[in-house]
Amino acid sequence: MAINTPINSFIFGFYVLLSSLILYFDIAHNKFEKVKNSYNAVVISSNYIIDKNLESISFFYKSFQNNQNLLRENQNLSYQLDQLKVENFLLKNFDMYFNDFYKKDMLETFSSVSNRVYISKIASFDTDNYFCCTNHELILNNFEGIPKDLIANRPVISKSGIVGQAYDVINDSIKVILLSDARHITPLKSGDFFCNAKGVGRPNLLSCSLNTLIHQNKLEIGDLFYTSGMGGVFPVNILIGELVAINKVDDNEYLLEIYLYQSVINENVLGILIDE
Amino acid sequence: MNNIGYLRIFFIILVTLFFENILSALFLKFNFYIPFTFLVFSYIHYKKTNGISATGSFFIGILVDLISQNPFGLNALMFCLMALIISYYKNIFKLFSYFQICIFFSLSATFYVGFTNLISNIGIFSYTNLFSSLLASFILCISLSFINLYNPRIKNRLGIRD
Repeated sequence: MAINTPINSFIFGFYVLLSSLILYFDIAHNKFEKVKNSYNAVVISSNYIIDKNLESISFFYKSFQNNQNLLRENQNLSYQLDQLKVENFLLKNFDMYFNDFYKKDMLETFSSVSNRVYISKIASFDTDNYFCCTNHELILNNFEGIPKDLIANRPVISKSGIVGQAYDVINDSIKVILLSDARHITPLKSGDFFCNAKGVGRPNLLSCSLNTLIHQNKLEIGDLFYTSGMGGVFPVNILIGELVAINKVDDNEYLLEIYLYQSVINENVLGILIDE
Repeated sequence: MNNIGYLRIFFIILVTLFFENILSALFLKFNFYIPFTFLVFSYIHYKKTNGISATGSFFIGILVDLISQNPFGLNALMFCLMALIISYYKNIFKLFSYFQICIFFSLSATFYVGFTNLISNIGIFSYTNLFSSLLASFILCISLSFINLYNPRIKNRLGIRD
């Protein structure tokens, strides 16, 4: 049988009594209100001070982060500015830097006729006029300052073929008249048939007149037309287009409609063939 | 746990009080209350070789009263009473099984809840609450003794020695 542990019951009794008295005085007379209030005041003050300090630290941290963000944004903007500068520089010097790239494509088509192509971006092209009216012109940049005597009356080409003819140089601009312009004439041939095709004034269309008293040969829809080289401007045997319509004018006179394969509407870079 | 210092005891009691404040709001939704601080104090006193002295129990109780906004002397009285009972029956407890000790602790906890409610929250005093608190305290005590018995690694990790 275990015996109870010997303890000093008097001390425990004293503290139990003391606790009971304190409890009684607190409940009945609120004697310890000041102590509790002081404790609450200390807790509230401590919380306030800690909150304030935390707020300062948080503010400092946020400021630091904001600065970091601003620095990052500044770096991004600097980077974008650099990119824009490079793009701007490239655009300004487009002819110089992209010459070889386009020249390679164009020379594949025209390798037999010329070994020098001056590449230039389209500076201005009035598409409204192109689709509605008879004047089909555009302006190319001439940043390299190629003299007029080298460019004037030279064929203007795209990657797929001849599109027009340069006819004037004004400062940094080269004026180009397109094959479909109503004022332009292109010497063409199809087999034994030769004609001077006029621009119709509509996109991608030329017209030739056929007199059956002179030309005995029969042409059919779909016949291909090539440059004849008779005008001394365009090189010979370059595919221009195909016959799409034969309209009778009178008993012996027919008007042939030739559809041009080359269009400038999807191009922004053209070349000018220059003989060395 | 055998020779734990008063500063450490007070720190453990403070941490328990903090968690009790958080958990009590949750437990009250289910109409029961577990006095963790009281149970932890009792357990420390039970495990400590010489127990917590009467003066120590009194001052720890007063500090808990101050922090937990209870009437002054309530916890001091309960801690002193519990310390007295545990000290008095320390040798007899050695003959008890874990189950019996769990019943003792859960009954003490229920007495604490009832007495505290009578003193400070008479409005929410109910026997249903007391019964559910008794059940919850018993489940808690028995779960802790199972952990103590069947998974001594946790006990060792917590630094608790018999």
